[in-house]
Amino acid sequence: MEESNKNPFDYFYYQEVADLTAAGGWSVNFDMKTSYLDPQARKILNVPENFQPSLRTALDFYPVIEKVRVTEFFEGCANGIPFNATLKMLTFDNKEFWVRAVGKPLYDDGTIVGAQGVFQDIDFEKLKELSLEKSLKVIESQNSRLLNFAHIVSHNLRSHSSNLQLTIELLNAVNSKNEEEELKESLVHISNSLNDTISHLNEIVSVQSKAHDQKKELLFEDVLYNIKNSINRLIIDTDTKIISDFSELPGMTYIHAYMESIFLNLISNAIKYKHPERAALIHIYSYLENGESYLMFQDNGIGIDLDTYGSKVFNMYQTFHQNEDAVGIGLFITKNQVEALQGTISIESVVNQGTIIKIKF
Amino acid sequence: MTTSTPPIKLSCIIDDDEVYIRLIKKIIDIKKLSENLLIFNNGKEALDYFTAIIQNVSKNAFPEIILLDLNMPVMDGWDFLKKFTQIKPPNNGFKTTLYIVSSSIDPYEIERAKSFNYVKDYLVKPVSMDEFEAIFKSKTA
Repeated sequence: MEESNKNPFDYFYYQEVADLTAAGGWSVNFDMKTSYLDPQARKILNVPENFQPSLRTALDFYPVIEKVRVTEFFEGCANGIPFNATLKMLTFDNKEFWVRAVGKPLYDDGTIVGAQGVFQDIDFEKLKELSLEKSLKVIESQNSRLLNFAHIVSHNLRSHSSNLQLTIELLNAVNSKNEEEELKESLVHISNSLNDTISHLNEIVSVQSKAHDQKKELLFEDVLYNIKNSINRLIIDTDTKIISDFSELPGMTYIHAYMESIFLNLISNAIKYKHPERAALIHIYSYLENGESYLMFQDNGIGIDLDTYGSKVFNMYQTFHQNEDAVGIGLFITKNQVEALQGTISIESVVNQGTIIKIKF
Repeated sequence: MTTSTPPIKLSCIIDDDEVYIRLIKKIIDIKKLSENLLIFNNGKEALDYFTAIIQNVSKNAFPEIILLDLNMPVMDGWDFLKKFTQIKPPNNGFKTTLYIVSSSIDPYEIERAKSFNYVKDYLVKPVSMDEFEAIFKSKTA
């Protein structure tokens, strides 16, 4: 300070730069047991006017997770090693914020007597960066799903159009009425499959558009009740038993249509792939673990060999069993619904014993 | 030009699309491309068959042409290729030409298919009647 008083310009520039960049200076002298914070540093840390910085309280300005690192930085300076890092600090009134900090040894006559440095408040920028990183991850996952979707659309439409083309070619080549009739039958088949494909695609597109629907409070018990009602016939005919316990986590805020679809898909999958020698027994539980909400579906069905099919179970049009009504779209849609709301889904299975599907919301 | 006796004794289709299979059967029939036709709905069915006949080493039971789809349930075309490569006997009289016939235009899949020695070519559906004819005829040419 005395130094800058001699040259008013130096002080002016120093103060303006400090203001403009929100950068505060500090120094500590291990020998003299003195600490110093410049006016900008005091402002950033929001210390009271009469606050006297000291070595004893220096670490109070860092949150617990940074204390070890900061101690190392100071020790480094004492041994002549400067530092340059991005870390979290605490204001006097305990608000966390991000800083960029540099520190260097303080010399007196060639020996190290302390450390000095500058820290810059970059909280606004850092938070923006973190939120950008998060958005990037979401966009990346959406992008890869979109690409997968594009391939599926291309693949499936192509197989129908290819069959159509072959049928037309054949229609031109055959002579008998009988053969013509046969080929017309193929046309009906192709048209039906094309319709199916398009309705599947519609379903998937609507998953994405519904992601912006209003989330509402819902009770798992109600959702299950509705689904049981809608597939009541199937449940009775197959002698399926459903045991549920939602007492740990009775409900949550979610898109209603998604939750119903998740229940419907997972329950009907459990019935579709039930073991031929026993009736389907489905357990459904909701619970909290480490502050996260989970929903679990467990069945006693035929299971699936995850060593062979593991990476593909959630892909579209992947069917693994020779069931005639296997379409390969249910789990794909469920995964899309869960991920559209930033959740995750996982599967465990033992062949001939059953499958567990866990959703983390 | 077209001879009355089919150029190929035995050919094989591995595909789960029933409409497609029916159409190919018709083409082979009309154009008289192959005397007999083996049809498997997925890789596993086909592999089971090949595993069984390789022990018998009956040359007649081995198709001269295999048309293999990629996207199938139970065992897909990739898995079949990998396992088929392991069981196939050395080239002592067995002259099988394998074509991938798929709806996928993913360049990665096309590249990958061509990295298999046994894959003669990758055909993207739709394959026209003339193309099918050419494939079967090229075998005897």
